Amino acid sequence: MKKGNYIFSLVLMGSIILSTPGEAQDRKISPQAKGAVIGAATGAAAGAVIHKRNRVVGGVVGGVVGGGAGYAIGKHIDNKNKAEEAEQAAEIERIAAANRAAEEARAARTVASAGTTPASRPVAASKKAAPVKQAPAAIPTPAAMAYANYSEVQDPIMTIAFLPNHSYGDVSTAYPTSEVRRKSW
Amino acid sequence: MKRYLYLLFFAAILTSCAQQEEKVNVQGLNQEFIGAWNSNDPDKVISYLAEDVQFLQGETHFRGKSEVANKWVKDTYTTIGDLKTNVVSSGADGGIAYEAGTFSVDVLPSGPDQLRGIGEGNFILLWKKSADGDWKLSYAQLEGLPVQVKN
Repeated sequence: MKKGNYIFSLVLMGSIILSTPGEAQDRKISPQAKGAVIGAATGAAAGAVIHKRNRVVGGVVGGVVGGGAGYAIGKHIDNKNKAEEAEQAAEIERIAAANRAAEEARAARTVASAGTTPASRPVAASKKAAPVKQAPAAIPTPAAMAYANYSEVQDPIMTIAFLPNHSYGDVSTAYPTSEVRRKSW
Repeated sequence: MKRYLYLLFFAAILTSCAQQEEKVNVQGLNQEFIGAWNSNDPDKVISYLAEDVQFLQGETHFRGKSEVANKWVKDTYTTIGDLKTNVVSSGADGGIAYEAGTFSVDVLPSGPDQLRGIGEGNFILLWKKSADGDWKLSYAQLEGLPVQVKN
């Protein structure tokens, strides 16, 4: 009868361990350890109940077998968790790679459009340079280039992809300095 | 036999006590909040706001439930639809919970000849447990990226 008390106190301990999953996670107990403890406790209790003639032997054997089984289950859970984590990491990596590719493509587009606009620059530069023949040719070039860059930013074709900011300059709004609309939510 | 029954009884009591102290489900909280936005229900959105809620976006900073309700919720809910969030970071304990990440939303045309857009940006929603045990939105910060025209 006394052994019965031990068995039920084991069940009580097991239930207390099981009832605090949050704390167990905070303390970072591995699933294997958790499985082994639960398996050993349950196995010992079951072994003691089943082996009626010698409850100690039954309890020890049950505890060992239960612990082994619990460890195996815990290991399986751990493997599953790790596989899920790896999958998530791969997913994040894939998204990052796609974003990088998009960023590079965008950068390439910007470079390409910047490369095409200066085609008009030599004409402007030569027009300016032609009447003033003694002026060094190097001076008008940066000015023309700066102008070309400026007109490119203001190009309506470039800005049409964004909605205009109707409250531009209104300091009570979130983005008064942005010419394109930034506030959505 | 009676003793075993007592043991089992206390085991059951301890189990139920431990589970009551479970952390708040911040994911569910935000899903309800976003759901209220998507169902065009400003009163429900406002009901989630704390009395001392703060809202920051760009150069604006609104303080208190009425200001945030009037200048953010009521001014915004008619202009957007299909709000989605992508949570990058979240956490919760007994009194505080947050979710942060990116959002995307349909920007509805403001007039018959206006274009429809897609707005994206970054967000953080911070919840605090009030004295009466309800979880209320205590702080929201949004950063909007340029709204692209939706083709």
